[in-house]
Amino acid sequence: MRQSPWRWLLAAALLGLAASCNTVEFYQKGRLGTPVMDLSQDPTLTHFEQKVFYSIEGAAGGIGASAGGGCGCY
Amino acid sequence: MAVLLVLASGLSLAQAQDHPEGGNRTLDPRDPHPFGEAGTGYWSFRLGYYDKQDNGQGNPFVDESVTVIEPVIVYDYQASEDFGYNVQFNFDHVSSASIKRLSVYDAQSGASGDNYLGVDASFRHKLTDSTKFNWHAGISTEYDYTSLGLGAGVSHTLDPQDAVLSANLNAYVDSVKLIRYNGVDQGTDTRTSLAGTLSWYQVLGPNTHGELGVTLSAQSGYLESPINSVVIEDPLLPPNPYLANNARGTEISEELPNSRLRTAIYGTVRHALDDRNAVELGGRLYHDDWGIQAYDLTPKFIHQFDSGMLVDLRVRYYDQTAADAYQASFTDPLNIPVERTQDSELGKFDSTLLGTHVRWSDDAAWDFGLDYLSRSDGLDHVFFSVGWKQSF
Repeated sequence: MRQSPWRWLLAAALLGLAASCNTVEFYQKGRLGTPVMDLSQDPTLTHFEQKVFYSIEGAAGGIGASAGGGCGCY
Repeated sequence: MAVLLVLASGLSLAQAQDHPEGGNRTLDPRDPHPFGEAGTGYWSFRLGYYDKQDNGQGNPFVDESVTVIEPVIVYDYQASEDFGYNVQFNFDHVSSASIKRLSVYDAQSGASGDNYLGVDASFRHKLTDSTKFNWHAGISTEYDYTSLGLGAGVSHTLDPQDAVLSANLNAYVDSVKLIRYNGVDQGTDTRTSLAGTLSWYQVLGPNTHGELGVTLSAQSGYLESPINSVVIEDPLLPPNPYLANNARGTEISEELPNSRLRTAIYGTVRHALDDRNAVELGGRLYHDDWGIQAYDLTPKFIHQFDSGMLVDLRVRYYDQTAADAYQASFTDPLNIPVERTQDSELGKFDSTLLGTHVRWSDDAAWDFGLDYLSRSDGLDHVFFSVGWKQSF
């Protein structure tokens, strides 16, 4: 029997909140600005990956902000 | 289920350590269109390619091979300190065996491929130093598909909490031309898609940050692929020359529910090992009311060379269950399900992807990515893209 994913989302959110209780000071954040820590992705690459994965898998969502629609390939 | 536990463990691993360099950074690292100085902007171009190989596995009755070439052009301009816009032009050329197959029917003689043309304009507004608003509108067209898209989003930075909360809503109103597997044109139908995404970016420590998000989407209308069919096998029939394996059977149309509710929960945690090396763990849980449950897990290693070149290596494991309507074979002509599909994308499979992505800069910024995806049902994929970006 499959369990609802919501309980896992709640658990992850609570753990994330607990982890974020320690404020990181301004002068401690330098390394988060280094290139290897850049979480942003070129929007054209996001568009390409979204199109590839959404068209070849049954799942959609989590890549960019849309989850199907807008293309006959999904 | 284990995916989010692993991610949550990663979130809780954040440790407070001083970093000698100090410094400032914008707390919106996932923003695809960040605010720059007024009068600045960029041109970018990407050429993407992907190829699905059908080695006779998957759906045995049709050749499922597909090749797609996709150039994308983007112009982005920061008109003022508080306002910027971005225009994206997309073109796809799709060459697939399933489209070429239509050409054997008189109604679609000459069919060989599909061309997709789309344009999307997005606009960003800085409402306050901590709150941004964006919206976009787009249109795209294919030989059997037309789509109108609208969307908007807002993000708010919580400075003391080192967090960014974002909400996005996207809608597509699509028109589908019903060209069936046998070339017969049955008019048009509509498809509506609405997706809402909530995401939460969090600094977890001097060396760790991550994001957690959820996307809920609802689709309604015509959700089948018009050219998809299912084959009712019957050993008493002669071989069917329209089927890839000359099986003895009759084709009928794919039928799927006219609504679909989808939920995707995703997260990413990245941790710096030092100034030149970082590791990341990403994952997603997915559920829909068609019966598909899926998850993926993507560990990644990122390294910066002395030259400034960035290289990342990733492995992605994906697993999904089959949709309720999916069957590999239909053998009883007297008991044909109302909802039915043999689309391999809706079947049970898992896949493993190995990929690398390289970024470097000279006068412009360049990147190149190459991925190979191996599927348990034999439908392997290779895809790559090369991107160029010139700022001004």
